[in-house]
Amino acid sequence: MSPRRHGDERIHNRLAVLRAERGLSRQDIAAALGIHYQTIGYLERGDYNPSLQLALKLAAFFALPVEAIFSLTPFALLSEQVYPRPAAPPPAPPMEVTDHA
Amino acid sequence: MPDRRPTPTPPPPAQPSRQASQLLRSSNDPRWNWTRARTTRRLLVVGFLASLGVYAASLSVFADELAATGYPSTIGVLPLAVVWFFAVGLWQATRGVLVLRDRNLDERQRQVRDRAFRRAYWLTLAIVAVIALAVQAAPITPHGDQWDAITLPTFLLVLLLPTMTVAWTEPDEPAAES
Repeated sequence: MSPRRHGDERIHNRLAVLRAERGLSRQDIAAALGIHYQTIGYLERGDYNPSLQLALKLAAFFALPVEAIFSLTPFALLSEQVYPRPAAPPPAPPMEVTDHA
Repeated sequence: MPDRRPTPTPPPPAQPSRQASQLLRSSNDPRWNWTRARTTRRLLVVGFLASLGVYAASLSVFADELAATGYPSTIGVLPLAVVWFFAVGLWQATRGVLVLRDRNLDERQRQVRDRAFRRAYWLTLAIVAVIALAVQAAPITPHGDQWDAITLPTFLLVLLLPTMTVAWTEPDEPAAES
């Protein structure tokens, strides 16, 4: 069943980012793991949730902990993690109005 | 205290395993890419069902000729050829996921196949029930070669039902590379 139809069942992943970062094609990953290259595409698109075995294989392939690649909640944007937004400055105190009259 | 763990480096892409090679060879034939868009797959399903209807009608029309000669005429064979064309198109459109062995499928493809068989089972039950009721309710009892017009198309329909289920329900494939 497509995870897209059941939003709460979707497992989010960073496969597309990791693949682009390391300059790998879907075929490269698929060939290394013995799966169809389109399964990587379905995973990236969120149309398929991997088995635990496949998730662990992918984690080993990228030499990362599995929770760095897969998550039950959406990942924060990488750009926001690298360049966090500065905290908003505190509001300026109200100007004192003195009555010279 | 500094972190002394070695920085992990990604392993180089491995050579395709034997299983992966089989997968790539059997289900990535680019000559059939034109069949793999969802709209085309659905058109193939409609075409297959329509050609099956024509085939059933032709079997009924040529039943007497079959009984007399023992073999169908060229015109009688033509509808079956069209059915075969759509059947091959459907097999290729679904990348042979229903006909390849387990070892040639990955876990997602096996899931797609199992889901298709599950749906096809209920559809088969419904089709058999409808045909049984139609035969019971028909004013004329089929006899002799007229049964061929019922059983042969039904057999082909049930044979291709899981493939049609996959062709109809699966989303568009991901783009080649993005």
